[in-house]
Amino acid sequence: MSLSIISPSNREKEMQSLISIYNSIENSESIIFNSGAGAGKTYSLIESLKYVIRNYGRSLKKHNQQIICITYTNVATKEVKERLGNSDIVLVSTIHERIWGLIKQYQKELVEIHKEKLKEEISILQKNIITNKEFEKYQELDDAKKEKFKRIMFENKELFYQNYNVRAADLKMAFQPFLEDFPEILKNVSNFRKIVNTIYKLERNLVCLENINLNKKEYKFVDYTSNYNNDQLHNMKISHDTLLEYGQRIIEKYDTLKQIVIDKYPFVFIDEYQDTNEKIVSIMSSLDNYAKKIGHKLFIGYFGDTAQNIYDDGVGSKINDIHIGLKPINKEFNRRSTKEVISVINQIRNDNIKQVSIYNDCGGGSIKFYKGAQENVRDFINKYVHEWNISSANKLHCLVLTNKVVAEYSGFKNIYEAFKETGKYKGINYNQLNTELLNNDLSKLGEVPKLLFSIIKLHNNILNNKTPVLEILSKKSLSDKLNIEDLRKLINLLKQNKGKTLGEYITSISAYYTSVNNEIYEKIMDLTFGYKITSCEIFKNFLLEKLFNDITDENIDYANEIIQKLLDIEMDEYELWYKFIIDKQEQNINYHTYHGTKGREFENVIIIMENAFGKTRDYFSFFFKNLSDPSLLQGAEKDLFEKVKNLLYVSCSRAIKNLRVFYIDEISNFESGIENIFGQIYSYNCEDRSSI
Amino acid sequence: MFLKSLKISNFRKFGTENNKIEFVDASSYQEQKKGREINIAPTTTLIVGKNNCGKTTIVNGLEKLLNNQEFKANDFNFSYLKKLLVEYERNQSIIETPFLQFRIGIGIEDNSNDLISNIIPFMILEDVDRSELEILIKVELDDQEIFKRDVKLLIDKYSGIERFDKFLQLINTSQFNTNYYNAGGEVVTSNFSINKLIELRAIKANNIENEKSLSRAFSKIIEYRYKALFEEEGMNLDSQINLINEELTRLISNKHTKDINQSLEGIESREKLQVLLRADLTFQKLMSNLIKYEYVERDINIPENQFGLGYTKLMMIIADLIDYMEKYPEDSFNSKVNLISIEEPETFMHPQMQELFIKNINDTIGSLLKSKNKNVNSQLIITTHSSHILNSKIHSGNTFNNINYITIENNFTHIVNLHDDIIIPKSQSYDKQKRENDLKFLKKHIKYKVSELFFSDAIIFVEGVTEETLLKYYIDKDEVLNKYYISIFNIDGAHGLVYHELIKLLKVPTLLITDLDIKRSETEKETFKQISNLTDRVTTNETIKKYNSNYEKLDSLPNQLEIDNMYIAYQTEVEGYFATSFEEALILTNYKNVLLNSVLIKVKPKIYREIIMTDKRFQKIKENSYKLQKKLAKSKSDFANELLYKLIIQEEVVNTPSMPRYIESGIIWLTKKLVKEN
Repeated sequence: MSLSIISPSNREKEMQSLISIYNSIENSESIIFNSGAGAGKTYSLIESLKYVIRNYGRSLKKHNQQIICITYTNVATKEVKERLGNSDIVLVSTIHERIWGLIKQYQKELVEIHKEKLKEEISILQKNIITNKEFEKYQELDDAKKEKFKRIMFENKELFYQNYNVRAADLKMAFQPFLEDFPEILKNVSNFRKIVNTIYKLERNLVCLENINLNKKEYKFVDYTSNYNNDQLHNMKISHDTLLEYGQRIIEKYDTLKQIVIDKYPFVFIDEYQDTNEKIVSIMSSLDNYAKKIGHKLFIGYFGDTAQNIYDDGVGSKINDIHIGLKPINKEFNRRSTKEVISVINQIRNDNIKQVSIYNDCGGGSIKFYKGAQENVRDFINKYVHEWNISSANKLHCLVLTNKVVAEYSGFKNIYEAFKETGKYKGINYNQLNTELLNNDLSKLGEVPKLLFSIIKLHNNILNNKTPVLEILSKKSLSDKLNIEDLRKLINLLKQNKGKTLGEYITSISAYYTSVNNEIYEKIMDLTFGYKITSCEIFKNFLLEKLFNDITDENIDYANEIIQKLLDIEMDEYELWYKFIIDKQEQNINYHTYHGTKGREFENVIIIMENAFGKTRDYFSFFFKNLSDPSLLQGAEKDLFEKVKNLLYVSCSRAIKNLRVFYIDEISNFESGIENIFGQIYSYNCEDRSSI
Repeated sequence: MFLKSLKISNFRKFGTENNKIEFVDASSYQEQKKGREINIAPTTTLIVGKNNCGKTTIVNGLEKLLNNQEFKANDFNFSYLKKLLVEYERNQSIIETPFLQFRIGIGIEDNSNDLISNIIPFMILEDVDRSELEILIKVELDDQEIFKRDVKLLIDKYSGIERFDKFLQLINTSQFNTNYYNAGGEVVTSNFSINKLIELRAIKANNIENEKSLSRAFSKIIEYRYKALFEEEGMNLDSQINLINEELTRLISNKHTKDINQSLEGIESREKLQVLLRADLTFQKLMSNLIKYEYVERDINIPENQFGLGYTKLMMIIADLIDYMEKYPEDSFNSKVNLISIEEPETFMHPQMQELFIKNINDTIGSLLKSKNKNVNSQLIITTHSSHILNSKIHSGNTFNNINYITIENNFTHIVNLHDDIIIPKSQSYDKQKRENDLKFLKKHIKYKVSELFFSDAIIFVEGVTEETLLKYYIDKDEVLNKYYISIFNIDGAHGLVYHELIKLLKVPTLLITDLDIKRSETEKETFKQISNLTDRVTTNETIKKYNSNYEKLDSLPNQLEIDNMYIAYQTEVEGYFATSFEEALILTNYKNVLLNSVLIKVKPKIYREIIMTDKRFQKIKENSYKLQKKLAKSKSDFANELLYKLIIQEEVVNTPSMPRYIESGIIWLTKKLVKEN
């Protein structure tokens, strides 16, 4: 066995980096702990947490104080909790949960922030109405006519929404009788919709603002809903991004709140800081400064690696500009990979962190760069399935560039293809699809993928006998008036929902929904769907509305066709997608995108690579081309270079033992760049193999 | 819903094995509900055992959990803690930290209206169609890191007894949390607390505090009824009390207050000092002194304090039950498991009353339920060391089921769940009718033997009056054994066999003294053939056959047989001969003993003289042992009594005849067992 022996001197050295952290904890001196991939960053984080518990646990408990630990994903939260054991003075959670936990009890102040936000939104909408070209026809009306138009539209709100997704002619027909005085405004239906929508939205926000000022009961609280990705400001509901914004605003505005947070949580640990939102870093920075100002103790520890910043909204190396005065602590050991892998990833990052393996027995790895062709990818993978004895106990993980390929290879190509054709994810929105359809972090799934996820989850849960009943009831309150026979009836009913395709399954669900009078069944479905699923049509319309928001007349048939496609896909395919999302795939070969492997490690890795990435044609090729002298790059190009480097670093550093890169484009222009990192370039084609 | 089982780990005397108490199951419970006559005996769970074996611990543990009381070091099993500490001393890394565990089995009845909201957090899909569910409650450290650090410090700093003391102190000062898990070991985080699911009314052993306990108990019930059931009347009573107060105050004011204030005026001016006296009778005050409890016996009213403690005790329990039933909610469904535990009700009761206890409670509950329309699902748990209560449970319930027998093994509480099927096992080879009859026999026969079996430290089974008489004498003389409660049980072998499974269950060390019963031919019998060799000999003894692998031949029979807690003793070779009975073995062992010889002369003078003839050599006694025992067969009891008489009046202890070797060995085994255990 390799990667098992650690010499005492290495152990001692590793301890030193921990001791530096401990010292900073003692001195309430905020740190930024940098370590490359596989350095055992999570280990250092856990040990630091344990150190605080050991030395401050009693006192924290006595003063009713807690330690905050923020992780990047729910998966990581679970891992930290497991490794930390039973300790309730540490609050481990993702950032959104924590920020909401911090601010939610300050409703009076939150409502103030909310008012500010509403006012800003209102002024943007008002400005749009006045200046935006799309609102031209409305702008041309005189004030009296504007008012009249608004009045008519408010009176016919229902009619407007009923006709939201119909053909332009139908819409015109529906509104003609009401808008005879406004012949111009109906000419362009798309703009008409925009005008009316904006008017409605503006009105809703104004009403909301007024209600807040009137001190109405339902307007005294702001709520955060993790289920939806869009704000509903007028309903006092905010989503992810706005939550962070409110968090930042409220903390910056109220010094007392700063002090409360500092005194209640004197230790804050942030994992994967590089991908943490800037707003969080500025919240932390203002807390840190305020603590120093009032002379209270506060320790903030950022754990991460700038070279692994792969998300655009992550703070990356800017952290040092936003949070000034952090003490850097570096760890240069690698606990994951063989020395062959380590030497390649060091070569990629090419900065002040040069990792060495902590193990004495760190050899035995193998890493090779192949050039080949698209059509040989499967063959190449098969070659290594044999060569590396891939089995369920020794899986092979393939990193591919596009989600399309992941979807195809993982068995849910049709789902992916259908989504790709939707208005929401088409064209410039294509990148959204990657994060919103194939994300292991459920909170990042898009609205429709999240709905599908909930449906498949219910389907999957019902089939699995080990599912906790509460998970199916989804809300504790649903169990309140239940006896055993009610429960048996309910579960039986749920088990009767069947369907080969999604459409059939939904039809089955809605058939029982309308025919069987079972209140709890209905409530479960209401919670799953978010609306009353009385027919499959309702589901279709929902998809249509969400996936083809700005549908034009000509496209309505096409849109319906795509929706039908989604409904005709078999449940088995959705199951595969579901297993992929929850990372419980059963196949021996698992496919991931480069991004999807953050924080993971695999024995065997094959990376399929090409020039392009997403919309950028010249992506990896750009990196290899400029590798010899990146200092020549500036501005956007410099940023791009960094981005590619980080992605390459993250992907290659997943491998523990075996790593292959298979490049499917022509490389003659940048061979030297590749050789610089991977050494010799091998070429692969099928004939080679058949001759073996 | 009902409590089906409770498995207690590491709490007080409980270890991690044989720690499951089983409660009455759903079927008998439901049958009971259907039946017109209420007979609670079969639906009562009995916890029996000697003192200090952990009976009360069971209810105490439940109470602690339900009342969210803190668990302290002395709630942990010390053997367990010692073992942990040794482990910590040995290993650098600490893996297991101390915890207590209660595993609760909840039974679910079909077609029941009970709300299951309290157990849903513990259910997984496959439980939905099952009739049972498990809830795991763990009392575990809040912070393992701090504990581990402190243990390391403590091991470095202290040693020996002091180390263990400090370890206990550490546990005492450490914060423990109560966590809930489902059967799959997953934490149940929803804000569940076990007292939402289980309610326990514990009626304690020492509930008689003073002479007025009963009056107080009943006035509490009346007060409750006034408040909850007769609100309007209660209001009337209140206004009447007010009228009395006003009237009394007026009287007091007229007759006393004025006078007093006048006197005071002499000392200080009225503005500065005066008193106001008024009556202050309240509902509570009235109630607390209102009820006088008298017992009506043959038309004579007997006041509470003249009344036997036993009756008071019974009435206290009944008063508690009335109170319980009154307060039981009037819904048609339950969402809780309701338990009533009665702890050692036998205190102060005479045997007859103990025998009738379950019946009395039965009648009370029956009549209470008749007048109410409540869906009471309460389970009754009685903790007792009364053999009479145990007896009445077995007989009025006509089963051994639902009796938890508690004993101590290797310093740990050991629970035995009695069940008809274990006591008389069902098996293919067992004729069904015979099984029924055996069970019937056991239930009837045990009536007189219950206390011997269940509450003694050791049991000796004998097959004859001589053994019985003599063993009692010998044990009484034995300095070690006479400190124990040892029962001697005289029953012939074939019938004794019926008891064996029960004996094994009860774990009481048992010495079975049986006979070799060597089969002789008719001629051998007539010629009184002495047997000095077992080759080709067979036995007619059922017990020996059974435990010698159904093998009747005697050649390869070991000197004794040991099965679990049983030791089977039978005659071994003495002075060159194999005795067939106890008497013969006794004669062979003591053929030269003067006292024995004198008894033989006394009981069988003619035969004795015939054998010993004129030369008076004891050798003859030895050579005719079989003949002597044959002749004694009809006067065994005379022989035994005469022997006992002589033993008691003799002055020289040296003359005491020795027990035959096979019995001596058995006694030594028994002594070892007893001494080791205690």
